Amino acid sequence: MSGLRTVSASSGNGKSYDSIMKILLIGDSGVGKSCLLVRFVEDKFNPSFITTIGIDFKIKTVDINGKKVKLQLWDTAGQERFRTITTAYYRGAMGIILVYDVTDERTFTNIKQWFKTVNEHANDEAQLLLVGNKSDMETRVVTADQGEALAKELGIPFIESSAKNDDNVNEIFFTLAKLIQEKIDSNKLVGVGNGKEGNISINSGSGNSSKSNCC
Amino acid sequence: MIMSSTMSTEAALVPNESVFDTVSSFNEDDANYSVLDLYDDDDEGDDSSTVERKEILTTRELEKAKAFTSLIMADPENFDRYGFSKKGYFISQEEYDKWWTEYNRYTERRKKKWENFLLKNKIELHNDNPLVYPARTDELSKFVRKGIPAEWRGNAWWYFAGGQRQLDANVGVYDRLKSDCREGAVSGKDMEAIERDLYRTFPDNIHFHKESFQNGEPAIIRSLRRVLMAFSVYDKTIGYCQSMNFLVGLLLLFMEEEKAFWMLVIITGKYLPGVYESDLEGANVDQGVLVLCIKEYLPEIWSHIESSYMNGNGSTDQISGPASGEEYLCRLPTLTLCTASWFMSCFVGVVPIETTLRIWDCLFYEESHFLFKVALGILKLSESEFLESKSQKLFRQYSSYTFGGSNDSDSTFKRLKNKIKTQEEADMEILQVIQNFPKRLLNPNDIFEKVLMKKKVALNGITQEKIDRGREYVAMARNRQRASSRPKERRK
Repeated sequence: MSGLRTVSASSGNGKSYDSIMKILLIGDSGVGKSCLLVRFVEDKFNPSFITTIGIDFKIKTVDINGKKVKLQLWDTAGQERFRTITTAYYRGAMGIILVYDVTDERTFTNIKQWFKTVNEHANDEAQLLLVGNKSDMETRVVTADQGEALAKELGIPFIESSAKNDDNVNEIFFTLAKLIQEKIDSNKLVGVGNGKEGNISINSGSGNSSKSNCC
Repeated sequence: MIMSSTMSTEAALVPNESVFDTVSSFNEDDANYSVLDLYDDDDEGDDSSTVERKEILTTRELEKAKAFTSLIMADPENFDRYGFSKKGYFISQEEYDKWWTEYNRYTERRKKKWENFLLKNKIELHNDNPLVYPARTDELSKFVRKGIPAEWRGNAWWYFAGGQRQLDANVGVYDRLKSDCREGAVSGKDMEAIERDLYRTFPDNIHFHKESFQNGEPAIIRSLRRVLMAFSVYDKTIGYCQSMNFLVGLLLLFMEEEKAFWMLVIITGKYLPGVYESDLEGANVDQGVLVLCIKEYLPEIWSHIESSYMNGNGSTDQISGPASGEEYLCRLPTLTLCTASWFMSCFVGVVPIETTLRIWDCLFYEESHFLFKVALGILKLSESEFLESKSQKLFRQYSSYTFGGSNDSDSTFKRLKNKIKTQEEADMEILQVIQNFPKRLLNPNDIFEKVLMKKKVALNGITQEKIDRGREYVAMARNRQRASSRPKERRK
């Protein structure tokens, strides 16, 4: 597990990375978005996190298939009314992690609403990932099968995690980064991260809301 | 009041035997009073059972008070006088202790000057907690900007904000709201959000911890719940909005809950209108005003924002051409994702606590234009780090041109990609500077003495009238844009 936590040294040409990826965490308030982020970036878990207001922004450089990638990780408030000020948040996002809490059915049900928000505001080619957090809890009410079924319906990959136990946290971010890199390599996402060229042709109002990126 | 017991904790650090004995005696009496006051539960009941309950509560609370006091005394070196952990992610314990040694002397000097000032104006100190202050003059303004004594803040804020007028006009309202809450008036959504946020308000403050000796939850948590629930019933256009937990949490460290409730009413209605409503439109308007202020007072930062904005920064809308004069007031620059929370939380959790308190001294004395001054002041102080990021960007841009080679289409595309890339890098670095810089503003005088109290610094000329006009202007611009965008949507 610890071997995966690679942070690259600075390279000779003055740049410490080859590319930047902007990744968002979204989901209802209290599902553990901030805990996942802090576990991944700082390898810490605090059961009493401060409420996220607006956005919180962290950076971590990782090695993806031999390339040094700087991950721009954006956390945001989960309360519904904050969606109006965080639509700017979706600009240029290459990866989006939709998080629910396996002990709270309502957060799972609301994933569809979050998915709709993503379709309204994000680049069509953004890579999505569904995460069921708090898998360590005995009070689970959403099964892994339910999570898997929803992910299949939405056409996106699925991982269960526990920020508390550090289960699958690295897997979330590395899996997503690799999928993003594949899209960059196949020219589905412009590497510079703003998706400008891609948006020109795709955002023509086709209204296609399903994604077929199932792995 | 919490303040008294925690203040005694600070005094107990003095390594002088005779002083320690004196402080110990004082502390016990005062702590009992303040902790009992803190733990007083004002649930209602009939007369006879009330008498019995009070006797029982008094006995229990005395026991709790002793345990609570012991807890604070046992670990004084780790917590400040408000109960917050001294150590944080951005500030070490050593840095804190070094700063506090000097700053504490500053506050002591300031308090003596305040006492002389009030004496000169024939104002009673009321057991070291004045209830009124002299008429508003430049002299009083200077005193407030240099910081109100910590022990006086609760009453001072209440006085300057006009809390008593609010309470006098609404006698009995808070009690009725509490009754309504007990009878189920709070919406399920607000109730759930409030419950989730109670322990996520100040997890690093000892008064908000549930300790092993407590049978129930901390008294301040119960007060926080009651105030937030009462407010969600009182103002249904807002209900509960995340960040209000921080406002009330901090107020409760300085005043009792009914006063905290009316202070919340004043903050949300007068200082930050529309900011917490279900569409947060007031927050967007205030960010638009902030951007206008940056344009006027911080031209170097504005030039970066404009450059970033016109490069699209990931937006399809910008392909059509440069931003119109009002475009950026509707589609706000990315910077505002960081700065919106500065206003919504009135800088709680944004800067270290002593700096927050100095800001609140001026907020309640001067009104909300002071929040804009603080935001601009932080950006101004962080400007040197901004410029460093910008020079790095220029270096990379030069590098890309050097390797760009000839003018063929591949090279042109590569240069375009590199230009966009360096813009993205600069945006990211600057955003990180903006987010992290205020977290290290440990010494309030770094921003007050270097920026906010300098007459030569132009942003200090901002008045409430200017902000209010700005709010009207931005709101109209945003409404116009929304109106003009509707026909397009219908066409689709």
